[in-house]
Amino acid sequence: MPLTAADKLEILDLVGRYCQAVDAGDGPGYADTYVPDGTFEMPVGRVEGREALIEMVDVIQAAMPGVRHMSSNWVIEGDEDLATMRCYMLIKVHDPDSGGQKTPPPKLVATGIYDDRLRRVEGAWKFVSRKINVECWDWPDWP
Amino acid sequence: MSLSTEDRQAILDLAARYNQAIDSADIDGWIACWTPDAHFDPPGRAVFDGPDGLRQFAEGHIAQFPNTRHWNANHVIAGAGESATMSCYLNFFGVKGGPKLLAAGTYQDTLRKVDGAWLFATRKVMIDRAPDG
Repeated sequence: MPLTAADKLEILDLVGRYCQAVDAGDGPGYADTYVPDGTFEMPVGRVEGREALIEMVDVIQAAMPGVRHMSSNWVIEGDEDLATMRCYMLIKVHDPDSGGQKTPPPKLVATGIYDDRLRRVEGAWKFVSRKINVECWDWPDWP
Repeated sequence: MSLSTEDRQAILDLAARYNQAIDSADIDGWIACWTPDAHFDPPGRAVFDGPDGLRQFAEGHIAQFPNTRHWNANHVIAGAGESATMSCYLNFFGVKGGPKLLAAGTYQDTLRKVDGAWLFATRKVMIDRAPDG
């Protein structure tokens, strides 16, 4: 059976929770969007499993103050229990030249494309793997 | 009863109409996105209640920022029956002389279904702050 409209909306909600969790420094909430042995692959390496995913959130938070992940252009395909998604990513940080303001100006620093695999586990859609192809990067330190 | 697919689509549509209305200076259309007893807590100390308060906000906002585009991302919607919550990101662009990202933040919203239409009951905007801010 193909994916329903309800499945696709639930997957969009999952993407929203993914971004909000990593940006809030909520490692467990971030790992909850994956299956327990989920993987995240980026140009500098691969992270696998719940503990490593939680740890990665701390690394990102330390390296990129004010980080905000956003996604768009979701193309989702699959059947009732397995799906793939390709979507765009945009990353914002606090402008490093903002000089200690309480609400620093935002700066867009990266775009990329995610290639994702998802699986429905006990009724809930989860990421099995996310692979990010970073297209442009305007930030000194890759975490 | 959890939210239906139609409910979720209607709420995403509401968020889009809200942005398009304020960006095109359609104050009546923007107020129509809210319940009659709405409460709006934008950046800054002032809060705005009901259609009259919302109109006061919108007139001031449009005068201060006449060429803007509100973009949202990462909508997370929960709820049941005729009430819901949503959180989503805001990217606030000025578009005169080329797009410039002026501010970014997160909306925390509550919504109610009134006569079959989903509307914002409350919106709170939290501008992204420095870690010690």
